[in-house]
Amino acid sequence: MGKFKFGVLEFDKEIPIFGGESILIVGDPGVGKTFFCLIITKETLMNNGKVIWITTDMSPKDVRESMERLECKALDYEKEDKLRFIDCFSSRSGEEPIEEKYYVKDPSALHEVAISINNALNEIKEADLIVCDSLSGLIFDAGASSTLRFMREQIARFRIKNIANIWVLEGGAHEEKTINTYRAICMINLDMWFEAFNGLERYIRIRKAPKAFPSKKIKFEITERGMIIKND
Amino acid sequence: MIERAKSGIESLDELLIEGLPKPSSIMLITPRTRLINVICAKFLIKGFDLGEGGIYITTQETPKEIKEEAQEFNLNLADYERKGLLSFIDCYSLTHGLKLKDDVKYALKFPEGLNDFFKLISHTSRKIESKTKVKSIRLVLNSFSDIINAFKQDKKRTFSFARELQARLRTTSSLSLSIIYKGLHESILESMIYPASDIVLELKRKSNEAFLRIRKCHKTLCKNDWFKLKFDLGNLILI
Repeated sequence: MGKFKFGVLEFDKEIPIFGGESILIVGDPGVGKTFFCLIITKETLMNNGKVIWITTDMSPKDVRESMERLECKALDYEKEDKLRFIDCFSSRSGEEPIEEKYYVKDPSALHEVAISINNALNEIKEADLIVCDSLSGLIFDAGASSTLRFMREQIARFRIKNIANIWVLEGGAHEEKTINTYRAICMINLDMWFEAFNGLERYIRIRKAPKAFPSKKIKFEITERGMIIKND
Repeated sequence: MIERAKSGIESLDELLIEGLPKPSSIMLITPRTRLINVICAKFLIKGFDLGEGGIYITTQETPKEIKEEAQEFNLNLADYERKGLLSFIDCYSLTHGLKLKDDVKYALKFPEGLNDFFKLISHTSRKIESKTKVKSIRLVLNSFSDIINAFKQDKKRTFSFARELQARLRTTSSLSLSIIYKGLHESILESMIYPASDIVLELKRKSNEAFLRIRKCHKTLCKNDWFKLKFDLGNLILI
């Protein structure tokens, strides 16, 4: 088994990961998709794993700060060659971030993203986990079918190399058939959503996973300690 | 350490643990209500109090109308404009075939002017900064809905625009408040803007009262509950 861990007991028990699995997280805006990915990243790093984080929705600096708040010092892991960021966000500002080694000037040119992933993998001598937060950013830039092709190719490569990969998709921001197409090519599907009760309550569900049944919905909270499962 | 700034709504700042993380692109999704003008004005005025400048980009009314409405709530935007702290970019008059009023220095016509949108903001910011030596600029865009319509509800262009606004704020450590009016767009467009926004606030009206909730805020754990929003004695407060 690889060094990948969800960092949430229910998922580490329910979903066996042997390396190379592709995981799609579809969720409502603000429900905690990025936060969940940060928890998983922290667990993988603390488990002596290596992570590549492709960021389209936040700058790498923002992701590092978010990891710091979870008591995971991103810069230290970068110095140890255990963590790399691929910056598909900063090109929007029109200014090249000189401090980012893997800066993608044109995220709509997905071959550039692929090259950056390859270079990062070579530099840190392979990885245990690759996170893409989010696919939605790539779809809006490059189009749904190009991004689908890109994702298929990357999933196949990661499968051969035994690298777990997580892809985040913004629910509600794409047509249902687009979302279903992406669901079909990933081995594991997780859904996250809000339900309005007293305020907004957060839920997560295993929609699909090999050797696991779809789960019932699980209520969770986001706290400074991490993701807390709430049993009703 | 996250740098935070006050929003102009005191209790909102408490919910956000001392204020808005800087930089932030804030989207406020709301029905049409006069409170919006108050929220926009208070957001800018709080910035002026903190040594920041402001740019008000208006697509819904002329700058003169905005200043007059703010004055009805004793919010004297005209005074800040005279001091050089505030500039208006009028995206309303030329778009609707009206003549520009004498007090308008900066204007754009949609949709052609969208290509120069960010250039004009940079130019206006530099003018304010050179005249007043402010540290940063707050931006109000009322409304983002008209930008979406100028793009003919094109999803890719809308998302690119929102993303560019968010990214540009990073380089200037600024705050922007963009207004999206509910019901004017497909819900898929509103959902698309979420990932390109750092903070998403929602406002609703029920029985003549206004309620506000934080739907998303980066770098901050906060409650998602609805709070009543009131304008009382010159202040916006959440109950």
